[in-house]
Amino acid sequence: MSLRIGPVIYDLKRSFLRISVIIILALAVLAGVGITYLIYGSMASQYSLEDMNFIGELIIRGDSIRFLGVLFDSRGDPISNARIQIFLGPYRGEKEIAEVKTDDNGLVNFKTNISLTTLYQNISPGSSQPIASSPSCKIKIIREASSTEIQGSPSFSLSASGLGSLSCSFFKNSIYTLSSGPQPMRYFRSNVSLYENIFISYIVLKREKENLVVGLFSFVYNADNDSIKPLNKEIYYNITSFERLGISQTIGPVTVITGASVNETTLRSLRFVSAGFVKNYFNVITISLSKLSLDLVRGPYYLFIKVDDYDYIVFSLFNMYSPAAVMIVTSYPGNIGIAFFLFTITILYLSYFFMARPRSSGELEYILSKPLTRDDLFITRYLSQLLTVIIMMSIFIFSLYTTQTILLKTAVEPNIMIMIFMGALTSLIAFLSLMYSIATSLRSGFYLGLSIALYMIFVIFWGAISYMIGFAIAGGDINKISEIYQNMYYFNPSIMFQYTVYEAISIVTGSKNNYNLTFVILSSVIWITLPLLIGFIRFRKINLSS
Amino acid sequence: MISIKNVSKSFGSVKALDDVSFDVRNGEVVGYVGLNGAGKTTTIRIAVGVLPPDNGDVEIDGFSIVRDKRKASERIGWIPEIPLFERDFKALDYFIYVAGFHGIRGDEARRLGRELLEKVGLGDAMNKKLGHYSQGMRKRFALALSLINDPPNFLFDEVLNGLDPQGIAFFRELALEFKKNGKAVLFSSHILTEVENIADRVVFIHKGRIIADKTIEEIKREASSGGHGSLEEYFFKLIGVKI
Repeated sequence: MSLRIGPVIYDLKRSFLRISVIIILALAVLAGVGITYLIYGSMASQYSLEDMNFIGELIIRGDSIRFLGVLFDSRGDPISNARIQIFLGPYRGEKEIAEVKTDDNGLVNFKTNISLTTLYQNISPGSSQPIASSPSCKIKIIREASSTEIQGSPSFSLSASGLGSLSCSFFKNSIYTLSSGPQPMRYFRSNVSLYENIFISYIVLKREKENLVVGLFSFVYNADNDSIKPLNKEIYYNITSFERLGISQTIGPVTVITGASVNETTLRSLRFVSAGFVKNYFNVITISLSKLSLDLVRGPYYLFIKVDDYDYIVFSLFNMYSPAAVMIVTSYPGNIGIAFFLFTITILYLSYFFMARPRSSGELEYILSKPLTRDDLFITRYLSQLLTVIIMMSIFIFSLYTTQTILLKTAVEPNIMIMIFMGALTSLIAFLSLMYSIATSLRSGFYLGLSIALYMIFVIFWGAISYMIGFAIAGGDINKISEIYQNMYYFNPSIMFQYTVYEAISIVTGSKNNYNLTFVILSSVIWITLPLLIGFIRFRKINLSS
Repeated sequence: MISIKNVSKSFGSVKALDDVSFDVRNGEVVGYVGLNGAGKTTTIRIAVGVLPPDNGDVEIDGFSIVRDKRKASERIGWIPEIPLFERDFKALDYFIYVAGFHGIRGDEARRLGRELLEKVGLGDAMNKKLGHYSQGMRKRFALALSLINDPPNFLFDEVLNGLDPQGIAFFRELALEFKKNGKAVLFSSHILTEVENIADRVVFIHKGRIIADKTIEEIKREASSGGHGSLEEYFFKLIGVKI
């Protein structure tokens, strides 16, 4: 078979340059950009979009207010001379009570002697009641032209002395760091020293080859005399996978998290490695993965920081991918899903326009009197539609990648993007083969009816159908229903897209992708080749006159 | 030269062609005459390769339309009774598209398109959509497409149907010009007077079978000896119809 490339290119031009195709592509791109904006908004509310991390504590005793915090960037370098405004009061009615500046070490250490009653009267003139319920605290970090607001997490748990004290924790990490770390944690050693409390918190900033760089903020607060001092103790670390702790996370139609809590027995089984003495309020410590004999590929992991003994341990989830990457990738079922949804409509339309309609009205017959065979005609038109789909998907993915890079100042690794692109493309090709095959075999009216029905079943209602089958078979067993739901996609042309999206999510979140790659490939190959082969054989024999 | 060799074709239980064989030699116009449904169009559709025969073959200058379709199709032009083209195409664009199958692309295809569309009288309508073309315009357009590579063989299928006198004259003169240029022309038509005027030979088909293959001289001789003056009368005598 020697295919002429000219007609393929010409068919491609009239296929891709159709107004309807361009409008659908524009809609897909707009949806991608729009969802990226939504991610941007969601990121802004949860993380700092600037290269800035802040950890702080506001401690209000009966007659004093103390604020201690640190501002640093993703390298762990302190950010000095930033203005920090402290607000307190009822929620959404907070009033500024002080403004302080970070020093050369990025630290804020502010104390003022003011009673709660006085403070409250300053906030709510005429009221004689102290702040007792629903207090709200926040800070505003002002750096040159930018301003970041952090809502504090209030707590009354510092009332060991019975003084009715209030504590507020402030925590904001950059979207580009690896982990949000634990919120500031307070541990009270009431059985040892009544008022000596340890505050400890960290952010995993980045990975440098075999090391993790961690910004650690810690201090000891003595409630008895209202004083603070650096921790000045040796600290230890350990990183353990979910698997080790017996915790599994499944990413699929239904997210199932099962597992064990981190108890003392588990903790005592961990091998801790020293990170040295912590002498300052803020320290950048290096965690050596080689010392732990760890090869971190996929998260999630737990990072444990231990002080002296097992009474002081903080731990948090930590991934090898930043919150930004996680948010972007977990949005893919949505935004790439919309493009997939739209592009399958395009395929339905193109197969109608290039095969079903001209074939059933006899418009293909004349071309066949020209120097080409039926095989050439079948393949020429298939290839032109295939190229159209490839171009549409490429433009969409490129625009999504570019928007993410520009707007979010980051993008997921190209290999993840390429994997999803290939997955979506494979599934679109499977749909193309199916629709094209039907177009070669049925009259245009029947084609439209059947292809729309198949579109509804495979693209729109498949999830609901799968759940219904799951409920019918498994009753109320949610895990079994989830498994059935997942397995049903092996019978859907979109299986490869489904697989690659969940694979990407599982890479960045460390969850397990339960799809079997062999079955996914097998299903995709069958979905692509079988309809195409049937259509091809049918087209060789079908009468092309009207 | 067009050689139709033992071609048979059935549609379901209906036998449309039964062992049809005849030749159209170079520099010859052969009339192809038969009643509606006799099998003329089926023969021609098989000859141009758009319909596969059940049995037999058609050779165009020695190339089988079944086994060597591309080479055979390079050597044949077809003007159907009712040409159907993809209606959303503009005429010139469709010409360029079809020229691509002949290996002619880009500016060369565009230049040739303009030239041939002018030649067949569609110069003013080359940017119109084919869906807006009249039947006569579509036939002229099919002619332009058939002239892309100036093939040595032509098949005219009821091409005079639905045409005004000017159109009829156009295609009559065209067939004669082709003959003059040494091309083989198969001319199927109901208008037997036209066939009589331009054909060197007439092949008669009835109910899917060739019932006679005579030169015009032979027909005239037999007609005058049998008392049937015209081709029409001769044809009706052949198929046993009294008028």
